[in-house]
Amino acid sequence: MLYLYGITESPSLPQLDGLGGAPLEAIDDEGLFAVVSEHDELPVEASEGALWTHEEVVEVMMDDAPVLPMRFGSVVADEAVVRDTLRRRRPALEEALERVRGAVELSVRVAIARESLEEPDTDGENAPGPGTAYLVGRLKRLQRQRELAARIHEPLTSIARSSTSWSGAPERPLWKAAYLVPRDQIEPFMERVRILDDELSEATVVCTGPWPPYSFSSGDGAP
Amino acid sequence: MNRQDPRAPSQHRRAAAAARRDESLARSRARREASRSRHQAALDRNRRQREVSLVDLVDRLLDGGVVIHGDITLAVADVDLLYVGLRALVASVETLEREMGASLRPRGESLRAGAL
Repeated sequence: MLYLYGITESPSLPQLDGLGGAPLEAIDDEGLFAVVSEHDELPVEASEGALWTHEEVVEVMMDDAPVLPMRFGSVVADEAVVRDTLRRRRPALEEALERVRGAVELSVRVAIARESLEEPDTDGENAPGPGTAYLVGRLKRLQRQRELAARIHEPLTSIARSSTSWSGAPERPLWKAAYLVPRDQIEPFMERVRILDDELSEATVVCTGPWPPYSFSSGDGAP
Repeated sequence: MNRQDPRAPSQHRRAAAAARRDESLARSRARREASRSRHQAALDRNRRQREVSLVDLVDRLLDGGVVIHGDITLAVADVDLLYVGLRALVASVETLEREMGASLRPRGESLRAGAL
């Protein structure tokens, strides 16, 4: 069976071993290439090392040409299935490759200090019942979380080509986003994140990457 | 009174010099403090980044990327076994995220959804 790492336009193979030390191969269909390694049995051990191996192969592929990374654990029977997949999905794959060309994915995670979302109870006199107070409090926290996220998201989207974001529940204040950033904008983007992290005392803003465009590789533009 | 006059400017000068000295000391202390806290912030940032990288890796490789759902030829049992194995890894990442005040996958669907 074949384990898939990613799909690209370049025939050049990373000078690396794949999972379990297996050699990498490229399977092509008219200019689209899938980088794979061949295995007798399921090559996927669920370890951090295996994840990094997959990641490293895709990262090296990314040096040469735009890449659509496969989800970890993508295994097919043989070459014919790979060729068939490339052929059937060619329009969607080509469109996705075009979308990520010359760009990388940067991840931003924002952990929000819970205290900063609380508000001292001011109207002691006509205080609502505990049920209402809970709901109102929850709503206020959500709203503040949303405002904080917007303060971070807006300057960053102006640098990025595309973005996608997720919020946590107010009980677990977290906000995270992925940005598709042109290569020449990586440094300005990261600098902007550092500034935001310094400016916002109520939140910790962390950026990692560059990653292959995992969050921008599916057909409809959303992960 | 008069005798103090010549001294007054010199006292004044001394006081001014002392004030300048204090000010310059305070400035350099502030500079040192700022540089130290910048340095500390950079250290904190690097440490956080290392921790977060693993979380981001798991998040991306297990939830993102191209999915060839329909073409996977593995028996469902095999795939489930793979996910059982991955659960241990995901659990350790979740602990890490909790410590950071974060949660692993608000994206929810995970592993098998989102086919191209």
